[in-house]
Order: sequence, then C-alpha cells, then structure tokens
Amino acid sequence: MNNIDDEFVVVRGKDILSTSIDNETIIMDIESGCYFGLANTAQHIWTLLENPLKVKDLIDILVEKYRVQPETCKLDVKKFISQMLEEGLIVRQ
Amino acid sequence: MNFCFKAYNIEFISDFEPPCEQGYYYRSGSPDVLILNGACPNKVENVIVETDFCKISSVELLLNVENVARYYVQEGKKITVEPYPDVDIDKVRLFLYGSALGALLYQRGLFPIHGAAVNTVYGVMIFVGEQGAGKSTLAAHFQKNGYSLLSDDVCAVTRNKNGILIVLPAFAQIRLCTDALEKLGSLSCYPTARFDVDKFVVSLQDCYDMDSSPLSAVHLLSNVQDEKIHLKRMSGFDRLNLLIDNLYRPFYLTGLASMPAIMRLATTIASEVEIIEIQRPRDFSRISELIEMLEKFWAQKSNFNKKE
Repeated sequence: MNNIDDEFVVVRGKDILSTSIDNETIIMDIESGCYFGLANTAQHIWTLLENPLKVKDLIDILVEKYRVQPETCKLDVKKFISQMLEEGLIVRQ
Repeated sequence: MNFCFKAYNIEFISDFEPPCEQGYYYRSGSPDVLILNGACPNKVENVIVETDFCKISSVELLLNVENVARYYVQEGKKITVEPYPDVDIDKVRLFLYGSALGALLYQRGLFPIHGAAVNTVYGVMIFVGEQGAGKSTLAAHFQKNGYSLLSDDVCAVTRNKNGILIVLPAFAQIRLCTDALEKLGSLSCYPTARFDVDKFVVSLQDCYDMDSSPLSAVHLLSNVQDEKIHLKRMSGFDRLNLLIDNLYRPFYLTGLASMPAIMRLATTIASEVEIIEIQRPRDFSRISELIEMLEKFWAQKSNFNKKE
C-alpha cells in the first residue's frame, strides 16, 4: 500500500468480466474464475476505471463527489487500489 | 455390445449400458460422443492440474477411481473406460455416467448444476441444496403430482440458437435413498424400482421430458429451525455465489479451455433467472404444503411467463 504513487495510471484488467446484478456490480477474472462483488464507492471507482486514470485524479473526483477529507480518502483509495492490483482486477499503464 | 442413446441433446454410442432405458434411436452418420472400453493413458499432455485421482489439461481429463475404473475424457467427444479387474460393472457405470460425464459436459461448454430439474408451465425449476437437503425427494413428489422431470442429478444449462437459457434433458430416472423411498410411500409405488450400488433407481419413462425447456428459476433448499416455510428472493452477489457453489464437480472446471465461457454463462444465469431460497423445516410430511406454496408463488410472479 505504501508504494501506490499519486502519479500511477490505472485501468481495468483486460480479462475482467463486469456485470450488474440487482444493484451490485460483480467482477470476475474469467481466466482464474475468481469473482468479487462491489457495492457503493467500490462500484463507483470501478466505473471510473473503465478508462485509464491517474490515482491522484481518482482521489480528487471522489473527494469532490463524497465531500470527504482528502487525507482519509487518499489512504482508503490507495489501500483499495493496492488490493485490486494484487488481485489482477486492475493494471498499471 | 453397442448402446445408442441420447442425453443432454448429445448422441452417444457406448460400450456400457446407460443408467436407464433412454429409448433407442436410429442413427445415421457418427455419434456426438463415443464411450469405449479400452486402455487409458497414464497421463495427459500439457497437464495443468494433477492430483492422486485426477489429471486435467485444457482439453482432457484423466480420472482414477480406485478399484473401480480409470476414465479418459477427451475434448468433449470421447470417453475411454478402463475397469479394474474383477470389478462390479454397475460401479463402473455409476462413475461413468456421473463424474466422467460431468467432465465431458464441461469440455462441451455446458453449465452443469447439481440438482433436480422439474418442468412446469412456467418453465423449468431447478432445485439445489446440500447433500440430504431433499432435492430428489422433492422431485419425486412433483413427479407424483403429475409434473415431468428433466433431471434428478445433473442439470445441464446452455443457450439455444435463439439465445434463450435452456435445461437439457438428462437420464429418465430418480435415484433415492431408502429413507426417502420409504417416506414416499414404499416400494409398491414404484414397481420398477431396483437397487443400484447405493440407491434405489426409479425409471421415469412416462413423465420424463425428452425436449429441452427454458430455465425459469433456481431454488435453494435450506433446512432451518423455524416451523414456517419461507420463500426469499436472493439478490446480487449471493445469486452468482449460489450457482457456482452448486456446480457439479467444480474441480473439473480448473484449467479448462471452456472455463471462461462457462463463467460468463454463470453471470448470465445469475442476472437473467429468478433465484429463490426456500427456508423450511426438514419435515417430509409437509412437502405437499411446500409444493402448493411454490405453485402459488410461480403463478403470481410477473416474470414467469405461462407457456401456451
């Protein structure tokens, strides 16, 4: 988590299938068969990462939308990005 | 001796008698799948997963059932069976038309749900649940009430040419343990029931559906402490989870070339089909009440279109 830099550009992984069931977004790595459910903010981040986005810009968008403290938002987002990268759901460009 | 039969819309020619009388048919040209008695290799090329009992590559699977037989399933088109010496042939057939066939269905890109499929005027209703939850027993009760069944073990789901999700007809039988059979009202209800390895097998020639039919809903049978029966619609992530949890022999999917397509099919089924949890006390005497409740529920659900 410490090594997620503001300047990193991230985007959804190529082989990740995304589908909507009720109000949840389900994402699945079809090569491995692993699947995850995303709700609320996670869902929103996933929508934003349809196209490549700098981590710094992602944080700015979320701070604006959810009216939260930038520092808290930065920590949470970076933790989330780190997990998503680890699972191969998003990739660095 | 060659047996010609059809199951899951697949035409088979087999050296081994199918689980039940499926009816013979005249065939011209070659079958979809050949099942042969013969020597199996010791390994598969480009193996991806290897355990004591199973070796899997993207297109082949080698299954070893100790003291029964080895099964070599190739590219969704051929199964070679090498029985161990002095084995009870019924055991060889049990694993052939169960596990080995399951592997074949995966190789052919079908989605095999472990459950019972009942055909209704509202489409096919599949019942899933853990071992002993009462799937086969419930299916047998539906059959007694005049419904026809498509499967009592493996419900193969796929899309037809018009893009509709359908359930393919399996083997025309129900397998019931002694307990369940007794509660259904004794063997006299089923004069043709015979004991096969570990269960009673009841043939369903007259009330078995030879045609595939659209899938309407998947129902999870949950046994709970409560006195009342509840029907709860499942939502979101739980829906996909339920389908994947109730795949038949999911281990055989690992590393398969068809896995991405099958996982896509899973998400499609999860978003298009009704998924309901039936919470009920484990009491076989209330099955009639459950069937009535389900019939009312299906009738009033706006997205179950009644077949004309």
